[in-house]
Amino acid sequence: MGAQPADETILEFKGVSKDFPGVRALDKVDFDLKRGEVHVLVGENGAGKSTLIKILAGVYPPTEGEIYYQGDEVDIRNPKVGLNMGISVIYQEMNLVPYISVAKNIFLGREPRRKWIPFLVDYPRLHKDAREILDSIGAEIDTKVNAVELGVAQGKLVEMAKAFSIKASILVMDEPTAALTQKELDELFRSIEEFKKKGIGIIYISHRLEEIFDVADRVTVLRDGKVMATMDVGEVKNLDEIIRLMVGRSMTAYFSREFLKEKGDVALNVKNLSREGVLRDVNLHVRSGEIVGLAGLVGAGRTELARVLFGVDRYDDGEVEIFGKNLSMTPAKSVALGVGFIPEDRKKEGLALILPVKENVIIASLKKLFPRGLINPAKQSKAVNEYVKALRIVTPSLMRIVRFLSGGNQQKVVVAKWLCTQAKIFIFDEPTRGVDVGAKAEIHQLMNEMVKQGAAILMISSELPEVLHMSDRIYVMHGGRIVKELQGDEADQETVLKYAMAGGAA
Amino acid sequence: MLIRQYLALIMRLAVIFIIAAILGVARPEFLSVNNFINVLRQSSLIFLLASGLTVVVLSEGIDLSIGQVLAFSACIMGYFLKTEPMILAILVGLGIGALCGLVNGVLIAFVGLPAFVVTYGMMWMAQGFALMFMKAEIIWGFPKAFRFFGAGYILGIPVPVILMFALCAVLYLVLNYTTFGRYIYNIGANYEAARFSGVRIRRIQIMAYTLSGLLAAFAGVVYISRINAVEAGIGDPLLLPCLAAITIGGTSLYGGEGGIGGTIFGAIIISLIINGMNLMGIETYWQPFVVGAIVILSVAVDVLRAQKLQTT
Amino acid sequence: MDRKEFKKAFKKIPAAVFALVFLLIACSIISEHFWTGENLFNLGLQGTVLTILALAQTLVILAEGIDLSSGPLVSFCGVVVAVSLHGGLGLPEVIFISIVLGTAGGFLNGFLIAKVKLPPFVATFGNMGVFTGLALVMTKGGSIPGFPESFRFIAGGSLWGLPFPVIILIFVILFNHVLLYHTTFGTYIFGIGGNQEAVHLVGVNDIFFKSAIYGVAGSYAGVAALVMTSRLNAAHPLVGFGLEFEAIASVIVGGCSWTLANGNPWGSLAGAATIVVLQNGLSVLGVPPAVQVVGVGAYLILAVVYDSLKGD
Repeated sequence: MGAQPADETILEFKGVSKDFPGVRALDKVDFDLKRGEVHVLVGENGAGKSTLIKILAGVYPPTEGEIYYQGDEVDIRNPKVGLNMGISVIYQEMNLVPYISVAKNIFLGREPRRKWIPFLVDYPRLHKDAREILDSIGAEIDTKVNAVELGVAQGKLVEMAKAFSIKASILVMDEPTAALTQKELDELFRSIEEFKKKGIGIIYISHRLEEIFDVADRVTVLRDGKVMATMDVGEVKNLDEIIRLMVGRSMTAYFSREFLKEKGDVALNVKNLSREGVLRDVNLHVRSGEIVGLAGLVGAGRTELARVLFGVDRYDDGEVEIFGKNLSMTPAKSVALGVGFIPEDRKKEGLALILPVKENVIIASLKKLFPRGLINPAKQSKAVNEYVKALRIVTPSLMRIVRFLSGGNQQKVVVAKWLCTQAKIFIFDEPTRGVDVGAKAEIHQLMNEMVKQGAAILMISSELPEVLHMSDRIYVMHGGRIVKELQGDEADQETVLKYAMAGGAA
Repeated sequence: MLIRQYLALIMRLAVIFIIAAILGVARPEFLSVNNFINVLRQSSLIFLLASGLTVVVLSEGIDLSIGQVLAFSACIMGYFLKTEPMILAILVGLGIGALCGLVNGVLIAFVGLPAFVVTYGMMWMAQGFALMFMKAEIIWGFPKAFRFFGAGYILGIPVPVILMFALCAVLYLVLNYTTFGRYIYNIGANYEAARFSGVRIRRIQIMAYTLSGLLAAFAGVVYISRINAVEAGIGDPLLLPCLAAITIGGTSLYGGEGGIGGTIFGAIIISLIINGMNLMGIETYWQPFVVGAIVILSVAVDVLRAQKLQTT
Repeated sequence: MDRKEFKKAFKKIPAAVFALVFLLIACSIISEHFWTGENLFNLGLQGTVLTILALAQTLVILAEGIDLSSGPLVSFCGVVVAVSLHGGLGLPEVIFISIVLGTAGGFLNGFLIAKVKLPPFVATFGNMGVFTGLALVMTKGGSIPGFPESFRFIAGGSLWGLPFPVIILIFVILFNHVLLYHTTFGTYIFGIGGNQEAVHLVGVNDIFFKSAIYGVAGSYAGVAALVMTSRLNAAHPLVGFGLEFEAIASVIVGGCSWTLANGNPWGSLAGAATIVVLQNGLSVLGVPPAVQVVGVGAYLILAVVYDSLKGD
């Protein structure tokens, strides 16, 4: 395979679209991949990157469009077809089986069998072949240990070996570097060079934009399911160009916040907070009447910090004070103290999808509204109605099952839940993920109103313009620490990105 | 949504009428008042035992131990009925049921074992304790006052049937108009979301399993009062019909959906089927087979429906 | 080995191993007959059925499932074997029938769980009713006694000074070991329990293999049914009742966990051995068999609490 000309196109998407109920995840995407190149895919969350690779891997069928592989139109019905064609995907989450050996993981589904009894695994060959593959990508991992004993980086290497072992002609890597150290990164990039030399085409998805210059030959930017541009990396002048394409709107398109001159007291105060392996010596505070942004890359520890602050996870060291009181360790107590948490994954952690709007709004306030345990339906409806109206949640009735609301309205239901408890401190984790543009502006306006009325908001967001635009102050996290505090007016995308990516060392 | 709720109700009523019509044509004696009361009384026993389980299932749990907890508490109750005042005997029985449920709840909420493992273990423990206590004997012949619960009548209606409707009303109110009830639904619908809303999940789980044990013991009161005897094995065949009643009643085993009202319909449908099989002269040996198949089928329908809902 | 490594290794030893040592010592103290050849012979005889079922349960639990129907499946296979023998079929035929029937019953469980996606405890609990019901129907609730000498050899014979069932057991253990650790199927068992998505994504037919796990477990039940029926020289529809509890208990005390397919059959063997010895000891102390379940349950709780205390 490696002998073929490097310029040859091995994969081509022509006008590929994918519809999910209510959403067009991919919209007439044209995309191609050449032998021996690294083609980086970038885009915000929800831009359609994962959908694209899942179609390529045969997990989803496309709604329309054609896929050409080495010049022939193909129908990748299921993962097996994809694999047989030589398409190998390394997903973001670990795809190893914990309690079998590294060698067995590499050859899962393609175990070498003994010649004379075909259903018995040929162990000597299994380990020999696994050893050879691991050596060829420069990974010093014992083939006999169980996958559960591996670290994150070693796990990624095993997955690469697995991809390699199927003699892939196309390798897809989804966020391979999310949790790697610099040394591990170098190792990974070295392996990628090996793959390129062998004529394998690599699709590389990353949040760390600066990696484009390290690995890419070409870059494609996706936004809202559409291809915004495909360019050679030599043509890319700077990251701003890419960011602009990704974000797509100039900053003024954002809701303009009214910043309060007079801030209130410190509502949330965090001192020297540590949690083993996740958070190191975090100090921050949030006053009533301000929005504090928490910026950083995926894996920097922002969500982990939010979970600790809300009492979902424990901390090992340090102090968390809420209105001067020490926080105890359960969500129930945080709620009682007036903290509200709008989680990143609202379907998993924010909403009971099969229950009505009313139920979802009232759940956190039941204890406060009805301390004796008996529900007064009139009082309950009144409370729910108030916030459904105030937040302009579009729903035919309070009994509407939340699953059937749009993403933006679902998110508003989560916010209504916390307004209903009269919370004073709000932790927003990705407040506008997966909501459309109109709803986004509404949620921003809502946050603006909330701080005007004295709320304290800690906002985690991976969308830089959102952070820059909404925050009074910004903390930048990297590797579980807060590496920089910036005032809203002194922050710009470059500065925040610089600290987020390099931890300020650069 | 409301229409859908009524639709489910109408469908269940339709099933009842269809079964009744078929049986009425095939076996005229089915349509007698006596048989009608008989069916209702049979359903009441299923319902009383299934009621606590319904609450547990709504919270996305399961309690496989109810039949044996009933047996264990009933054995001890029966023993005390012979020597002690009735009220005391009943209280002891109910206390034992609640205690078994409490142990289930604590093990599930704090040790983190799957509910089906814990309650399955409890099933055998309760069975063993009952056997240990009874040594294969039968206690029979209870005081007249005690027989009122199972064999008495008020205005011509059997007391168990009245208890069924009363308990259903009470649980309906508890599930819909108390914070406990709403927490049950929320935990069942999305455990994580309930946790992230500050619900004290462990406490609610422990309460639910304790309630299940308590109501199993309460069903035991009615049960042994009705048959006027108790032995260690009376709980063995009871769980399957209860599970069938709950799943036919539209309560999802994945929690958060359904309600206690459905369980009454489920109990009546199951009793009709068993009654019909008896009337048609089908051997009782078929009953476990039929009831087991009903459980599998009704849960399969529930699962397929949920999958369809997720893809649309 | 430094202290940390030692501690880690120590934590890996399942509770069953400590319990086995303790029980063996305790039994030697309470009974001078314990270590006699005759008693050990009997232990092996009694332990065979349970151990085979514990191995079956291990496969299922490694795949994040449970099989509550294995006891009733043993009864059902036993009844069919008895009917076939009385119908004049020979030894090879009934061996074939029992194993095939067990496999089919297991596949039914597997189909409902892997394909229809019922929760394992519901599917196997429903089938508990189905298998029991079918066995009851075939025997009309009674037992079928009296088999030819050739069939009785399965449990009554001995070879190389060992009871023949123990030879069967050794064969099953070897088969099971090869299956789990030397075939691709074994790899997929760990894969389906540990990360089914990963298995699916490499193009393995995970649904089929998941069903097959239950099928294999069912075939073990078929083997156990042969030994059981031969030993009792009778088939009875409720004879396997509760065997699944002892089997599940064996696996749990043997350290197999429901998450991530973390466990191995050797722990389950130790678990089954402890339960057999425990029951033997309780019998020596005069505890009737029906009550011994309390002892098993208490042991189970101790083991689970020990596991949860030692943590990670």
